[in-house]
Amino acid sequence: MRRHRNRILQIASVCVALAAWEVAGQLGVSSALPPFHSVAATLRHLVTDERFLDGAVSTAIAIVIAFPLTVVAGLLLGSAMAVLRPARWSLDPYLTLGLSLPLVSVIPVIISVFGLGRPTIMAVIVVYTLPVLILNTAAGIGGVDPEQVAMAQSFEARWPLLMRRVMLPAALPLVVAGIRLAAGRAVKGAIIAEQIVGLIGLGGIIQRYGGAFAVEELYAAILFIGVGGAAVVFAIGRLERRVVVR
Amino acid sequence: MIELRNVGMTFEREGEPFQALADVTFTIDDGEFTTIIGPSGCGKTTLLKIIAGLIKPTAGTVVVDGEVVDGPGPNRALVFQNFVLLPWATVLDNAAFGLEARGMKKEERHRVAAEQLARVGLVGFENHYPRELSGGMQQRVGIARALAVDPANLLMDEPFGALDALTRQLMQKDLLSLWQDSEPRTAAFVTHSMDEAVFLSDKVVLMNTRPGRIEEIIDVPFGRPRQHEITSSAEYNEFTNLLWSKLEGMQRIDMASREGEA
Repeated sequence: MRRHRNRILQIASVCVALAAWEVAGQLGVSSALPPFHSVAATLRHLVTDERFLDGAVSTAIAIVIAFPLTVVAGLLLGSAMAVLRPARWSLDPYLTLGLSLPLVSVIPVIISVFGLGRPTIMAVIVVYTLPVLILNTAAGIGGVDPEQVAMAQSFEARWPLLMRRVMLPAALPLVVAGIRLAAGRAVKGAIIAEQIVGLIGLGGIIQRYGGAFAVEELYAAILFIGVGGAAVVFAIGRLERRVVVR
Repeated sequence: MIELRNVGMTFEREGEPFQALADVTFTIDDGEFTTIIGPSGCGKTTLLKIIAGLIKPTAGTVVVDGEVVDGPGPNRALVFQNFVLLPWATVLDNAAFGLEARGMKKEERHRVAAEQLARVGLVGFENHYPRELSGGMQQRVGIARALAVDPANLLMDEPFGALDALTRQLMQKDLLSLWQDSEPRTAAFVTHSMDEAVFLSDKVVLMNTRPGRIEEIIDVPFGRPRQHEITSSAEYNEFTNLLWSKLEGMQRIDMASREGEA
């Protein structure tokens, strides 16, 4: 019952925001704020536009290739950090750096290494998501109850069984939460990199709309990215609820 | 048979060496139920974990059934104070964990685990998760898990310490009948409850603190099979009181010496 009410509240909130947007647009508050209905119409038009779709597919390809690989690398490095002291101490400075450095300022360096194509976008996705993945995996595995490990050892459980039955299930909630956070960052990183490169993907298209003051197209593209990113994060959240036993 | 020979344990604590156990020597005979009791900090849990092979002593040796202990082994199983069940596994999978560690096939280990769950009174809970069970029932799973691997030596670390008084009494009774009805098994049981020690065991090892050491080993003068009714007999109360006064005396001397240092 409560969940139902929360869902209704959520939908109502979105409706109110959209209505306020529409009214403000109709009143002509600013030329930078077109009414919602015209943005929606533009979006409907955009999703059949070939150039827009090409851009969207290009961004999606970069994410679909780079993100799963980064997840695997993050799981391995995070596990190593949790279990091996040398790995923890040698990786820690880069992790702290990766989390505190404004990554936008690193993108020009990445461009100078990887050029103006998709490799740069994928490299930015890696740099954007790897620290979160490593950190959450390490915290998850490092947080395993030592008594449970002792229990497994007392029955002479071997390494694979200890991982499968004790370590991984215990780490799973944090690991999956890390993947959910990182998925959002992957979308963000890809778009930001594309905007700076300015040629490819949805980010490139946004840059172009912005430069041409095509306000309605700009809003439509932002809406498209926002809804798409939210859908990815939501899907992983659903998966999370299914695999995590509390 | 469990033999401890001059077992000592020194930890490093805040950069200073700290002697947790000194020169502990005693034997638990085959089929004997021995309780280790003492004030908190006397190292009784450390001692049990040394017998289990989870901690290596810094001095002396432990010999179980003729083999020097060098890690956990198939002849021992441990029951933990806080149950230590896997929350993401069913009751049946938890009870079967030790068998799974030994590489037993799924069907076979589930059959054996279900038998043991039935022995501890948990029929019908196989597919429940630990969080759906009360503390007493969770510890029954812990006991079934240990019994499932059919260990010659059962080690229990304050198994009822986290339970309320009523559940505790029920668990003691059930453990005793489980013990008396099954094939002979050697048991080492750590507790800080004197009633529990006297009710369950053949022998009580009284430990003292700083450093953790044996104070006295006392045979319990009550035969088997033992019923719960003996706890209301005069002899039982007299014996328990005698042990209490010994333990209390130790604790007072310890307190006085700490005051003297301070």
